Amino acid sequence: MSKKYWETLPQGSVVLEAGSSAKFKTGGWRSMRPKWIEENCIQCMFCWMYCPDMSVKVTEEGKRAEFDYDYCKGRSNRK
Amino acid sequence: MITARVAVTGNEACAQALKQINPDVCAAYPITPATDLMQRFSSFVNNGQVDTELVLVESEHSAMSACIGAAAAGGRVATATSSQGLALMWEMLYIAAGTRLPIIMPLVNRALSAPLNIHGDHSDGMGARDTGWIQLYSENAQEAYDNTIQAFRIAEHLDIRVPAMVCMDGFIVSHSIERVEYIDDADVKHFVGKFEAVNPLLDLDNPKSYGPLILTDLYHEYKRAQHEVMTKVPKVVLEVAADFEKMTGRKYGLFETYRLEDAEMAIVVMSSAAGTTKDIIDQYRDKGVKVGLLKPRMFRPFPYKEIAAALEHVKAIAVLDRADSFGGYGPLFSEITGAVMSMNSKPAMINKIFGLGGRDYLPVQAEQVLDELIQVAKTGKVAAVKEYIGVRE
Repeated sequence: MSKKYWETLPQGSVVLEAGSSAKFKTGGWRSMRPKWIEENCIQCMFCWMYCPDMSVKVTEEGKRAEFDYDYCKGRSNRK
Repeated sequence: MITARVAVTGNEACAQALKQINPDVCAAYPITPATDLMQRFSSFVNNGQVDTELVLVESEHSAMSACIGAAAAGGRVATATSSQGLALMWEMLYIAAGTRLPIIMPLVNRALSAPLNIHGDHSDGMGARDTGWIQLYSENAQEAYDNTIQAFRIAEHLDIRVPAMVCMDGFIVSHSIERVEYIDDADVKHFVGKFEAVNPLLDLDNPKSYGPLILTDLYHEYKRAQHEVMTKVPKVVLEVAADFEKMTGRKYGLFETYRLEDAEMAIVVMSSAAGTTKDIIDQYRDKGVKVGLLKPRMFRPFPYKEIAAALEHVKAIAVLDRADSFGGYGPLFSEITGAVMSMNSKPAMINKIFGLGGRDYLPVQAEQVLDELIQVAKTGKVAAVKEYIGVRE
């Protein structure tokens, strides 16, 4: 007999796949879109420290890069 | 099987059961009247009689949180609490059950504040009715001991994996010395068996996450699945009870019946008050009154169908609640009416609230209830559905 959908869920809602939160693109929650203006940027990296979702990307040289809008919820929107 | 016959309190008996089971982790915070239970257990830890990691925390909320962490890590875990302590655990109780962690918790039933009261009633346990925990209620110290041992087997069963509370009446059972038969250490160990961790966090080769955010797309399905698990509990409770009876000769079920088979009237009451009620039933039986008793043992999940079958033939039922629902019927009464709904016969029913805050339940009160029940059975008329007994007027 085939199982109902809810019978196939993992016991206790444990997530058995490591790192699977990367599949959950939370950028859709964003209501305000931050904009990085390169010529105004003094590379203080406060934005990098401030972002809890690691949506502020940094280059291999340690310089500020573009936002990762897949996960950015616009919570630390700064002018 | 070797047994020892000892004179101990309910707390002492439960502590002994925990010692014999030797859990991996206990996290606890003291609260009257459960303090004595974990205090005794902590001396077993101190004396090296168990190798449990005892975590001393700053509140019951933290105690249950630590238990959840330890159980998710893959340990066999126990704690104990009472009253306000259970109330403070409230949000964590749901998390333990929803995460399917088989934590075992003796609950020494005590009244809830306000007014502040340290004595026994079922307000605390009934408040945790909907948390997803299995609840077993015990009449005396022997049952509290036996239920604690059985609870590990039930909760840890791979078809179930939900936490369980083992309830006993505060002071009346927790602090009264009774004759108890202890099972031999090796037999308890064999009965409970080796703990099997399911998806342990400490299995570092298979990383996983506990406690994810699950919103409108799946939460409803998880709750549906959680209910389904509870429907599997009665079968396991009965299997474990059958094994336990083989070992000890002591018989347990989902509930106990006493002189109920040919009864025309029934009293339904849980825990220590059942003992007093049985004595009065004997007296009335001697006078030719056909009355019996039903004592629920497993309150969650509640065995509606089984109880309905056991009460099907009676004309009148008195349900005695040692807890109240202000503005509602007593919690046990509500469940029994739920069971009665499926019967072809519809017995007349009355609800008596008794023994709140440790107020004594006296034989004379059981007699009053029975005298009223005789009239209810005869006339089929109920003057007041819910009343308080033993109230100073």
